[in-house]
Amino acid sequence: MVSTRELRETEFLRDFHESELSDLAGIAAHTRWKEGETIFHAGAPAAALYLLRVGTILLCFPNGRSMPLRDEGHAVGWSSLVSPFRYTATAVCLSDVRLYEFSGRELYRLIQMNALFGQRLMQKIAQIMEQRDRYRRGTPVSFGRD
Amino acid sequence: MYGLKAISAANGWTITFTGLAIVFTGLVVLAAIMANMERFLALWDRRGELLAGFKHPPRKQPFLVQEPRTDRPEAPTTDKTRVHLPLDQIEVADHFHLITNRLGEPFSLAQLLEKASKHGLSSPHRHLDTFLKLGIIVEDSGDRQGFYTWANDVEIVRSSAEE
Repeated sequence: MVSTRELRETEFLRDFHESELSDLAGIAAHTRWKEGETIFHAGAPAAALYLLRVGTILLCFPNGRSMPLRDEGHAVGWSSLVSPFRYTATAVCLSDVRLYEFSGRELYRLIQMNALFGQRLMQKIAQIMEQRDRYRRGTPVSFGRD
Repeated sequence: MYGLKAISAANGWTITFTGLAIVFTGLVVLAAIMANMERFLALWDRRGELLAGFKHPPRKQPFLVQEPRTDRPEAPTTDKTRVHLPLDQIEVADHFHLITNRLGEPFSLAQLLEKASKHGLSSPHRHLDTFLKLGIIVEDSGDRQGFYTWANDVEIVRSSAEE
């Protein structure tokens, strides 16, 4: 069971209202992953949004680029809220990782019930998309011999 | 004639010791090759530059110019940040180097992890995380953002506790 207090301390959710955090806590789950495990694969149906609690995740994009996420509060799996609802990168654990998991379907239900919450959440998602766009869209660079 | 006399008469002792010497010499040579296999492979990977150096040796100076001695202090050498690692991580770094020599720089971390896993390296993800945290492997910039290189200004040294 995830508490509202835990979520309030997460950077990603810092400016959300108490009632919204309470709703989010109701659909959140703690998940643990071992070093080397893959949380999701690029191209797979995106079912959940994750918030990083502890550990390091490496986002590997199909063009060969990658981006390590280390700080607490990073969100991964924004594709669960954006069409065509397929992950755009593969998320691999570089260490033992603990995450908050939010079902994409449940998040949509909350967005439909509360437009302001939806706006706040989608603004955050847009920021993340913009940050990662360079990695995602960048053309493959081939310097290697293999 | 039977027994030891027969062996001596037919040079049996000489043949026996010669055979033993041949077998053991072969084993010693084989062990030396196996022990240095990593170096041979590293040389094989660098064969292009080595051959290029052999074909185009650096030009010799036509004559030496004696520079006047001055009392000026020597220019400071470029400082490298020393990163202390335990022996097992140094070995993993060497292994990563062999892989990235093949991949070329800048390299993809996903490819590095894939190759390291295929080579049976233990916990490559954890080691990569450490190298990234310590700035031993750094992200490239510009249109190569998302690809990585070995930091030039970092020198890996063995932890003093292990020396």
